[in-house]
Amino acid sequence: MNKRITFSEAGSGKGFLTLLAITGGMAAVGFLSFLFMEHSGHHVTGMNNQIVWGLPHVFAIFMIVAASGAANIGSVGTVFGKKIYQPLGRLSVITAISLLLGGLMVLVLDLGHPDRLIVAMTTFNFKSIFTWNILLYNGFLAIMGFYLWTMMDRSKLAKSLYKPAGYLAFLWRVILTAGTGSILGFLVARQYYDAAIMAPLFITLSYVLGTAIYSLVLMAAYKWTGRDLGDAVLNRLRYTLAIFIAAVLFFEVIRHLTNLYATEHHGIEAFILRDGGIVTAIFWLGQILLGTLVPLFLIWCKKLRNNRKALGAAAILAILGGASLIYVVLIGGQSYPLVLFPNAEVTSTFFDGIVNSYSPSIYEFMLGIGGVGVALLVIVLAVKVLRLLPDSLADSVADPHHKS
Amino acid sequence: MSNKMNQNDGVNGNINSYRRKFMAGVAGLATVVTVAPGVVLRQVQAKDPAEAVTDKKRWGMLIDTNKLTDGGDACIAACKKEHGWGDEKLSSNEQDAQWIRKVKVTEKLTKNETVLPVMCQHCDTAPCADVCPTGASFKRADGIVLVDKHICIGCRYCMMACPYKARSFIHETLIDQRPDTPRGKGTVESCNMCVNRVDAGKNPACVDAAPQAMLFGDLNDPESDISKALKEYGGTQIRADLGLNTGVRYWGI
Amino acid sequence: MIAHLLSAFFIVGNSMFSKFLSVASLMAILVSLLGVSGCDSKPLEIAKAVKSFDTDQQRDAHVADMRKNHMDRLMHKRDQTMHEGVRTPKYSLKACIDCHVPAPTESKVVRHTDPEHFCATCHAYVSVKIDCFQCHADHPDKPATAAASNILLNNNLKIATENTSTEAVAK
Repeated sequence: MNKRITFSEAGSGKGFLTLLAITGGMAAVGFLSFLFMEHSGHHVTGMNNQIVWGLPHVFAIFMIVAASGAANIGSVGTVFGKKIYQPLGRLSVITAISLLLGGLMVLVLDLGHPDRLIVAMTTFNFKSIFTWNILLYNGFLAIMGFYLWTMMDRSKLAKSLYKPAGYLAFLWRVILTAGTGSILGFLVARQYYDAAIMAPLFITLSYVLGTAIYSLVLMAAYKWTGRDLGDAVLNRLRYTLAIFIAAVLFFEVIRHLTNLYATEHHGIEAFILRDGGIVTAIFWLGQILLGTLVPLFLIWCKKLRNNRKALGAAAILAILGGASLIYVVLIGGQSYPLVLFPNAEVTSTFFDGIVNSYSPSIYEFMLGIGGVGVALLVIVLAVKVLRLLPDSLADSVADPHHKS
Repeated sequence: MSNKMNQNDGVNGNINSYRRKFMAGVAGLATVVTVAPGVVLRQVQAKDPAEAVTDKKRWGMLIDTNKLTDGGDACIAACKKEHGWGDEKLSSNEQDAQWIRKVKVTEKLTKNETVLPVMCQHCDTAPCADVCPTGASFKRADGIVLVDKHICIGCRYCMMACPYKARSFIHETLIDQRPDTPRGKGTVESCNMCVNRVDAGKNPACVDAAPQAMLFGDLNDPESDISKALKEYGGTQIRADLGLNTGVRYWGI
Repeated sequence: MIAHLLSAFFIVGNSMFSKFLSVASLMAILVSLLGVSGCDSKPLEIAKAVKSFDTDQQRDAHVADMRKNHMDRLMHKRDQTMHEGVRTPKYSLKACIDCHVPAPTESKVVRHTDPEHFCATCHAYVSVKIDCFQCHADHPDKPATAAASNILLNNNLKIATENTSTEAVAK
């Protein structure tokens, strides 16, 4: 029987204030950029009528997908009954909530009419997957709050609801990520989307991003609060990360092979894999080499076992790879022209038939950074005021199979 | 002023003779009732303005690219004049709105060239309306696809969904809009088939600008010119493979 | 847990009470200044309508109804026109503008950003922001002779221009 786990708030001090200043500053930068974009209109951005979703959407989708994955750590403890994951659940849920808040903020503030959020929340078209996502995101926040309560409250009622809440959160999460993937999967018009595989791809991607971000947050929190963090916990996260990176690679290979088999998709595949310039570079270097192969090596290389720097680097690279994947799918998919007439060259005054280029403006980047800032700010504040972190995650405490 | 009116009459006269020729050429079916020289009874009946539109009608358009010798330049100019787009000051070329555009299609093997105007195709099952989270993109009962800019939140999902690239997002603050065509910053817009004119019993502006090559009418009415012409000779849809049952059909593509 | 949070809040509150007091009093002064500035200003004269009613009774009824209900009337009509194609002049925003905002002249175009604009006069006074004119024309169309100059300068068009002036479709 392992030792009883106690949770406590992170202490205050210079470190806390510094973190607060940095994340708050990022959020402020994002807000200023929003005010400028909202006042001027989108002509100050790099987006246009060809590339209608730009960098803010890369940030937003990234964070929304990662949110679902971050909650997975909690699910593994609750739904699959893995004891070692259970003390990690609270931080997992908070990370999920904060990432979703940050992502949604970026998404909403990039709308043409962010002032009409109330319209988006009250006027629904139920044939739109977007509408379902709005409901799924709001539901996610509520369910995660409920799940957190069942973890933290000591009453009998809360304890009895812990399992059901975990199952509900797990199910909701999977549907949410499938819904996010389907935003692209349900687009019949675009050559690079329009495929059911988008949903499982995004679900798997969410585990990669969530696990990577969670690992970094956990390591940082334990280092800065001076608490013990054993290898047992980190190794679980390490292998979880590796398995999901491999799974994303598998889905990507299948997706591209399917496209390469169908003649109608040869154009877009040649663009992404060979002729796309910056998009091609991001695909091969960012997504495949740095974002997939290198982190897999860092995790599975025997000499790097129990090496925290290697895990940290792998997590950062996995995040880079995931962001690259979303960038290639989103921007690359829009860069390639719509096919109005198969087997014909098309030209017009409205950029038909040509590859569209996209260069994001500083404001879009700042807005994205603002979202990341908000997410981190929420985590920092939550860790400070709530009892989220176990006092110790040393092997002797956390590992149920620990032999002393 | 009186000069101007006379000029207009002259142009109208020309157009009506074009129209007669076109209609006669179309199928030889169309019987055009002439009340007096130069005056043609309209196929398009003005509806009672207080009455709601119904699905008894489905408005459609037929474009004969062979007869459109300018490739649609006159249509595009008429559309700009009617709706006031194409005048955005701060937006880049890539950000400018285009409701209708001239597309040149060159077949890869044969090098056969066709020029045609492309705009919103007013799909029966419009992907833009399907994906719109608030229902701002919608198909009116009479088949005209519109954006309700009052509830458009500017998410641009419809632009991702449209196979025809028919939609534009407004990237800057606009002033001096046409009174019948509200359009503004942060919303998405596209060809509205001149819904204001259609409701008043007129043809869309582009059809009046190229009457020799374009027909506008009720696709649900078997006796309308457009229905007869389409029944006799068919009509091509762009991306017919998507099965969207478009309201705009073409000849010569 | 909640009790714990609350107590933490109170401890912080106690130690920072004097600071809180100074901030609060500063805010109070600022807010009261706002009230003073509000008292000083008077609403501008509302612009006269172009057309007039047959009888004073009709006009008074219209004014009383619209003062109270214009937003609901417009909203109702908005959806009817947009989605059902109902285009009677009654409660149509275009009809309002045609009557209440002067047509542009060579020297002056009254826009919704000007204080003398019919809608702006009251809305600025009560600080209610409207976004109607982000999309809708905020003044009647230019008189027919000037209308063509705007967009058509470089288009040598010989197209039939049907009269698309702003007259509402009357039954």
